[in-house]
This record gives sequence, structure tokens and C-alpha cells, in this order.
Amino acid sequence: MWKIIAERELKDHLQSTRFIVTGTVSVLLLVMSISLGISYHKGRLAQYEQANQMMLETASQQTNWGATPVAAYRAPDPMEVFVNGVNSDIGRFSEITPMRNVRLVRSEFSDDPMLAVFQFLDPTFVVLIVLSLLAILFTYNSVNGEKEAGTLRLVFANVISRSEFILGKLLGGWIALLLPVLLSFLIGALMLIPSGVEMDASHWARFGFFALASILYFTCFMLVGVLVSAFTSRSSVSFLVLLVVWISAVLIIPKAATMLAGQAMPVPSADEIESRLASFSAQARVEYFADFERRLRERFRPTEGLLPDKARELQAEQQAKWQQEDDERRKEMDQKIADHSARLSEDYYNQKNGQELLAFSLAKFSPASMFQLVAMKLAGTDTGLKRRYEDAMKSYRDQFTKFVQQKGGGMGFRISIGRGSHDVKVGTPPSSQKIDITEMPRFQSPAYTFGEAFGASLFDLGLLAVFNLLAFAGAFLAFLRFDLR
Amino acid sequence: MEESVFIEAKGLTKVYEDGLCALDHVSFSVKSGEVFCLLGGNGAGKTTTINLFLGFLPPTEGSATINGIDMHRDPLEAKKHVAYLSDVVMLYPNFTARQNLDFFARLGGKRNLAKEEYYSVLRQVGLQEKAFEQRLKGFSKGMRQKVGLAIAIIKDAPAIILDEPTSGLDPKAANEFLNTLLQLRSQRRAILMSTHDIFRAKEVADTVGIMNEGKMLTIKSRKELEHEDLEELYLNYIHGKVAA
Repeated sequence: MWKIIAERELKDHLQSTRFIVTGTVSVLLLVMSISLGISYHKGRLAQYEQANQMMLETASQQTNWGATPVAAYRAPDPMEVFVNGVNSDIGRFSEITPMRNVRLVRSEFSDDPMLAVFQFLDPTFVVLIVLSLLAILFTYNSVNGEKEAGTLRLVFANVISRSEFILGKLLGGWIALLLPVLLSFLIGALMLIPSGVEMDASHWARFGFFALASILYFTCFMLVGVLVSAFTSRSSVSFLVLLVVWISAVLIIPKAATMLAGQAMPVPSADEIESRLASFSAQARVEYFADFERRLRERFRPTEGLLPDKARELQAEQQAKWQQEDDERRKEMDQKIADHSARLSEDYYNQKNGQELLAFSLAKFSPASMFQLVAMKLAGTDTGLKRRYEDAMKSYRDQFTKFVQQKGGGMGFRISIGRGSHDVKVGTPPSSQKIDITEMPRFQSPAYTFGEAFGASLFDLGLLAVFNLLAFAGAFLAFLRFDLR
Repeated sequence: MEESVFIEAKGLTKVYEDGLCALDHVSFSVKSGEVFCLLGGNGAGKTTTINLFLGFLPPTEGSATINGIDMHRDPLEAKKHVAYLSDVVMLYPNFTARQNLDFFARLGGKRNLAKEEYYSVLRQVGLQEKAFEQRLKGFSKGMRQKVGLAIAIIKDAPAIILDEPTSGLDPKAANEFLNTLLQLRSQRRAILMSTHDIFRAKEVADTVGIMNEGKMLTIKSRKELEHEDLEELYLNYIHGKVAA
């Protein structure tokens, strides 16, 4: 019997104008969003390659590695076609200098605030907003509407149990809703193949799980729709209730969770951290130079009153020792700044992680947040993207600094005392030979494998599945108690 | 030939959780080839009686049986023998008349019927040929009622329960409907019909049960009614001028 009910439900949807219109709109929106994503991705890729090329060209004109301006750029990932996530919020590159912290700057939103206002129409957005609304639109009257139309009484005048009816109804409705989604993703996949977007096996697997998460997400709203419809006797009431549920789940809970977490666990801003670090560095340098000045005075004191030749001779004897002492003090200062920076960064990230954890935990009351988190983690455009890149860039900075030191192009201060006078010279000696950029170590984007993506999203994916199970059980039980009269 | 009792209420009582007594020890029976009309105003207990016969409500006391099977104890078995037509027959508007019929026929256990078989039943209830493959969206109440009756007929059940089937129908449609009902009676079906339409009840009923405030006030056969004015009788019972 459940097959007959499922078949009728499916046919009823497929033959309805409501389905044809909304299904077509959904397919068009999803396909359009994938097409836009492909176009954005290709644009970003071209920009990325151009920026790298320009950096190398500029570097190739330099004669000293220490003076070479180097930047590490964030490489566009094909998964951003489906889930833009925080991609446009975080900077696209960071300058690589040993004296400064790695910091991703020039985000797309900061360059083009209009994008920030209207955000991206990516497939995640379409699933999040359009498919959830569609699911509600198709289920708000699934049970009480049949009662209003008198068909429920007609159906139950036959040999059919309530469980068979609700199972058939859920299955038929689910398949009907699934069709436009599967069709859209299939078209999207077919568009990707000839588009030139480099999707490897990991990307396809992540895309597959993104599609699965999308299905779980709208199924959740579908089941909630049936649940509310089985709890209320009038379809107008269930529509209003579901509208409130949708607004809360999609628009309010995620934002409220972030705000609540921000209030409960305040975290200093990145600028504040930067300013604290700059202030500490400045203070350390002031102390270093004060100490340096004191040392200089002490070094010159024994030569006071001596003949210039005698003084120079005495200074020349001590120069190696003084240089070593200066180098050590400078390294101490650098280390002190680096330690402080690491501590500040660690504290900041710990606080930020705590705040994020609280915000995400609160947000998980909403399937919309769960879906967003799953989608972003699968795509690698989650909040961890910034950290992954900054960590990789820090490693690159260390690697590059070592390389420069090996090449003799010190990037710090080198103090030497001129032989012909008491002048103090600051900087590196000039060279006329251009550097060979083929020797330069290149920044490698941090790898984000399918295993990592799957591992990161598994918990939220599981939660979404649990949410579905609960909604299914709720809908099932609510219908068992539904007044058929 | 003595006809067997097919639909039977014995001391049927329904008291809701809030204490409202919707049905108070109602007893009656409907034989094969008999049309039994439950006559009464709003709140008389007609729909509650039908709800108990369809297993939509559990009785507080008594029993409602179809072909001797207690609807409350074994609803799935009892429902095999009964077809139903509701007062609200919206059906599935995106389906054609034939598709609606097909769905309910399959639910009623009739599988793999040929298109012509559906058409034959639709003809029997008087639906115009051109409407067979049209969606119900544009159907009038009368047309939908005909499809509803076709649904009840195609199940081929020996008992049919009709809840206010002529309400909202124009006189012509109501007349056509009642003619079909008489055909069904001639096929030896036991028909239980609730109505507040005294005129129609008198036309088709073999037996009339007058209900008020959950009680069966009287049951009169067609023969008994030949010498009485049903309208006057009904009003007298309703206003308590005749002791129940």
C-alpha cells in the first residue's frame, strides 16, 4: 500500500503547476549559481597566476635577496565553485618578511564592498535558502491539507495502516523534491567537466558529499514540514508555523549564536593583536637601541684621548667580538619579539577557537547552520582556511628567511664600523648582480585532502542525519496520533 | 428472501474526553439491498456514527460492525467490505477523474483495471465523457461528487457509507446522484447515508433513523412512512413533541 501512496504523491507533485514552476526555478538557480561559481573561480585563478607572475618579475630585477619583495598568494580551489564560505572575507595574500607577522590582506570584500553587501549566489546559498523554502512549500499541507480536502478520510476508508500511509507519503514527496536537486547537480557536474576547472578525485568526492549534505538538509525541512502539518489541523496555521521555523532556523539562530558567543567570550580583534605586537616590538627595539648605544659608549670610552691610529687599532682588535655581541643581542631581541608574537597568536587563536566552538555549538540547533558548516568544511572554505594558510605562510616565511640568510642577503640590521671614520653604517653592501629567482623557494598552498575534509565534516554530517531521524520519528509519531476525522 | 444484516450498530456510544456525549447507545442495522438514512440536524450524531463505522474513532461502548466484523477490533478486515463517500469531495485536483479513480481503486484492492473499466464506472455515475481525462481542478462540486461516487462504486464493496452526499449539490445533480444510488441498491448493496435533506431521504430511503443530540429517536421503514409526513414527524421528534 505504501508504494501506491508514494506513487500517487510523486505523480501529484510532478503534475502540479506549483512543482513545475518551483522545480524549474530551483534547477535554474542551482545551475546558474554553479555557472557563476565556475566563472568566478576562473577569474580568481587568472588573478592568482598574474599576481604570482608579477611578483616573480619584480623579484627578478633585484640584486639582493634581502631587499626582494615576496608575497605568498592564496590559491583558488575548485570547491569554491560550490561553497564560497569565508573565501571572500579573508585576504588573498600576505607579504613575506622576517620582520613582520604573516597577515592575509586584501580580501575580495575589502576590495569590492558591493560583493559584501549582496554576497555570492553560490549553490550553498541556493540550497540553504531556496531548497529549504521549497521543502516547506511542498509539505506545509501534506497531512492537514488532505484532511481539509477530505481525501484522508477516503484513503483511510480502505485497507491501509497509518504507518504505510505516512511512509508512502514521505517517500513520494521526498523523491519529487529530490528530482530537481539531482538534476541540477548532474547538470552542474556536466558543466564542470568541459569548463577547465581542475577537479581531481578528491574534489569529486567532496562534491558528492556536498550533494549528500544538500539532500540531507532539504529532507530535514521536508520532514519538519510534515511534522508540523501533522500537528496542526489547518494548513494556513501550519504554513505560518513553518515560516517562523524557517526564519528562526535559517536567519536568526546562526546569527544569534554568533552574537551570543561574542558576548559570552569576547576576543580582541586581529587589529588589536597587531597593535599590541607592534607596541611590544617597538618597545623591544627601543630597549635594544638604548642598550646598543650604551655598549657603543662603553666601547669608545677606552679609546678616548688616544691618537686616532691607536684608537682604530684598538677598535679593529675588538670588532669581531663586538659584532658577535651585537648579533647575539639582536637575535635575542628578534627571538623575544617572535616569542611574544607566537604567544599572542596562540592566545588569540585559542580564544577565537573557544568563541567559534561556542558559536557553532549554539548554531547547531539549526539544520541550516549544520549544513553550512558541513558544506564549508567539505569545500575547505571554512573558518580554518585562514589558519591553514597563515600556518603554511609562516612556515614559508621561515623557509624563505633561511634561504635569504644562506644567500648572504641579511634581512636584518648589520652594523659595521667604517675603517676611515667613526661613522656607523646600516644595511647590506650593494651588489650589481641580479638574483636568480629559479633558486627561490616557492610557496606551496596547504593541502586539504578528502580525508581531512570528510573527517572535519563527519560530525556535523552525522548531526544532520540525526536531525533527520528525529524529524522523521516526530512526523511518523505525529501522524499516528493525527485525528483523521 | 430474507436479507442478511450487513451494517450494524449495537448500543454504540461515544463520549469524548471533555465529557461530551456525542452518541448515546445507538442501535440500528442495514441489510443488503437497503438504503438506511440517518436524518438529523447539525450535532445530531450522524457524522460521529459514520466515523465509528469507518474506524476513525474508538467507541466508548457498543460496537459498529460491517459484515459481522467489529470495526474497532479489526478495522483493516472490516474496511475490505465497505466503501465510503465523504461530504467534502475535493479529491486530488492535479489528477484527472480517471487517475483519481485508479488511485482509489488500487487502494481498494482493484489492480490492473483497464481504462475502459474506469470509463464504464464514470459513465455509470453520469460524468460527461470529455471530463474523464480532465484534471479535477476545474470540476464543479457536482462533478467531483460523481467522481467520489465512482470511487465508492469501483471498490465493489457490499456496503457503502455516504456522509451528507447531496449537500451543496444543485437539484439536477442531486437527482442524478440519487438515481445512481438506487441503482446501487438494486445491486443488493447495503447503503448507510447521513443527511439533513428530508426530501431526498424520503425519496431513496428504505429505512429512516431520526437522530437528535446523539440519540436515535426513532427508526421508521418506508412502509411506515407511507402513511406519515416525514417532515412533520422529524420536526415533532426534534422538538420533543413525540416521546422517543
